[in-house]
Amino acid sequence: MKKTLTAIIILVLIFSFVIVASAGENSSSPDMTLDEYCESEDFSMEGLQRLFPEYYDECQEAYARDAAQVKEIEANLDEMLAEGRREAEKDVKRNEAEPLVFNYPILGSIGDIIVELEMDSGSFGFAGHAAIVSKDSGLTVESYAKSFSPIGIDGVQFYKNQWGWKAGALLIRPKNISSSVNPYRTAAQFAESKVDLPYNKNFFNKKTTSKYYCSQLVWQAWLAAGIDIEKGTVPNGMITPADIVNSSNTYIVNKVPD
Amino acid sequence: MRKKFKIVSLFILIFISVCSVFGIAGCSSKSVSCPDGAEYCVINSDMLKQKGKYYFVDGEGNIVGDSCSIRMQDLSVYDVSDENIILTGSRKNNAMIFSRGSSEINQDFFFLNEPKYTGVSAVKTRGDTMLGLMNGGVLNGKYIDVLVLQSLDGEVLRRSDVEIYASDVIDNGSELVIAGSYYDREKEHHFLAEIVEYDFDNPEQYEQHKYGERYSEFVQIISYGEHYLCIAENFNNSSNRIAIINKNTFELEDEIVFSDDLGRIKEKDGKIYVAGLKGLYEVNIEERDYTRKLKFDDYADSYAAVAVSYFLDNKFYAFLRHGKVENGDINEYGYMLRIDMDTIEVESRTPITSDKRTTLEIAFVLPASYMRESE
Repeated sequence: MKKTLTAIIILVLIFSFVIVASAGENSSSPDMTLDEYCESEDFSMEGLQRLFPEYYDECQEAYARDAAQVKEIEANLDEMLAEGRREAEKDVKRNEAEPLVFNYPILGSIGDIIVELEMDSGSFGFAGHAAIVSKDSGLTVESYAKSFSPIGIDGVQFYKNQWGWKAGALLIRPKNISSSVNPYRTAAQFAESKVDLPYNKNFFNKKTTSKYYCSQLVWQAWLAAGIDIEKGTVPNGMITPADIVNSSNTYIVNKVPD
Repeated sequence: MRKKFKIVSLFILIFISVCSVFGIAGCSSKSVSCPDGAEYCVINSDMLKQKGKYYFVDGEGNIVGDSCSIRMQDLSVYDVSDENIILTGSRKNNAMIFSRGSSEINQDFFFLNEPKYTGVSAVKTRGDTMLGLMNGGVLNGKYIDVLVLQSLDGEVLRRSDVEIYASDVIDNGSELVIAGSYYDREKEHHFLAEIVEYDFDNPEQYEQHKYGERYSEFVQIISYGEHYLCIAENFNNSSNRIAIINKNTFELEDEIVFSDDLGRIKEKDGKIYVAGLKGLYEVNIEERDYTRKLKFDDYADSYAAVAVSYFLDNKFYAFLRHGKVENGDINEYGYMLRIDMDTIEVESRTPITSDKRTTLEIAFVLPASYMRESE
């Protein structure tokens, strides 16, 4: 009995010490800004929660809202696809062959937007991923956090366009481009000019031009071409792949079938 | 207490025995039993996640034998040879290696022995070693591939950076001829065709030959007499031409333009054959002319793409794929053609199917005969 009590007391003392030690750590204030921390080598979600709890909580809430938006898109997809078919008849790319969707492995052409709602590319503030087709349709321009990047490089890079393989991937275009492909070219060119820039973990800082998360890159690319593909969505400070799908300025061309 | 302990132990022993008998421990995905009557092995992987399976179909497209799950992602880059077939990833460093006549599948090969590393843009088998051109990305304004030569038992024999986004390689032993494209941020089209001469004895001094005025990429390259023949992609992303390049000077001498997008080129008995989206062609390089020998849509009601194609054992294999068509308990995805390269006739046309629960995403189709021991 005595031995058991002694062991318990020792365990409680060790436990208390650990709690006090980490509380001491918690109480220290960050000596860098949010942006600086996001770019630092020591970045971690635990650190983010500890040092920037407000931002962390905002991201959690934003993620939950975005996840609900994704569910809504999935529920209304057939209707959105039907609306997309009507919009596609007015688009300057309307004469592109339907087999673009099946053009294994390529999906889309210059400046087109690709959204995949099931995967993440490093964001903890929203669901899904967005990409933009470069001037070479065999390549996309995408931004990933390093640990999510298929090529292990942080930030904006060229990737092989294999989205034609990916069942469920959505091909998105802005509305009202009826006379010239120049906006597509401008958007693709803008995205390409950002290759090599790092990933942006401050998701509410969507206007920065020195770093990019996936949907921010696509949004700015099309803003440069004169179209705000966030329009019509509920503004919450960040631009998400689901926002791009739901925008009143975009339509779904097609979904890669199974 | 002792009695309770004995009863618990007995239950554990029975449980283990039952598991062993019924294989609840799971199928051994590294060793497959090729079922009787199997015509093809279908290996399916997901583009974004490490999951998939392989299974077999017979000549009628019926699924035969068991399926086996695999933890593989994006098996979209492949090379086929007499000794080995390697399937590996562009987005993920993982591989399945099939050796002729063996039921063992090597799933433990990772370039640089690092599963977390990037995938490849091109891969080549060389007997008991593998050559990978791994995706490096745009670094300091150049696109870099990491060339890795590695033995099947994991020894890294060579590693060096090469300025290329590789598509294909001619393996001349101590020298390589690598076809693909280079990156130039200043140009309207950022990726432009090039060929790199690489010498293992002098890896830092590789030579680049650029063809950016004419082509965006060389998709495949073969050697033919005094020339290299490259399937070349133009600036409209159409790979509808063969570039004829002098082997000594690397000068572009001429090209042959097709009314088809080309995918595979092969020299056989002094003749050149090239396969495109629409059919198989015999090419007369000297006359700069070609003849269509086989039209694919004579053999498939409708297909959207030639998803997989390769020359193997004097045959040409082509998976003519369409979108999923549900048919009762199975999904239909198109046909695998096997074409005899002596007669240029279709020997077999096998439906490629999957069970209802399986969606084929990135699928490779391999003749089951490759995996059987020769009699």
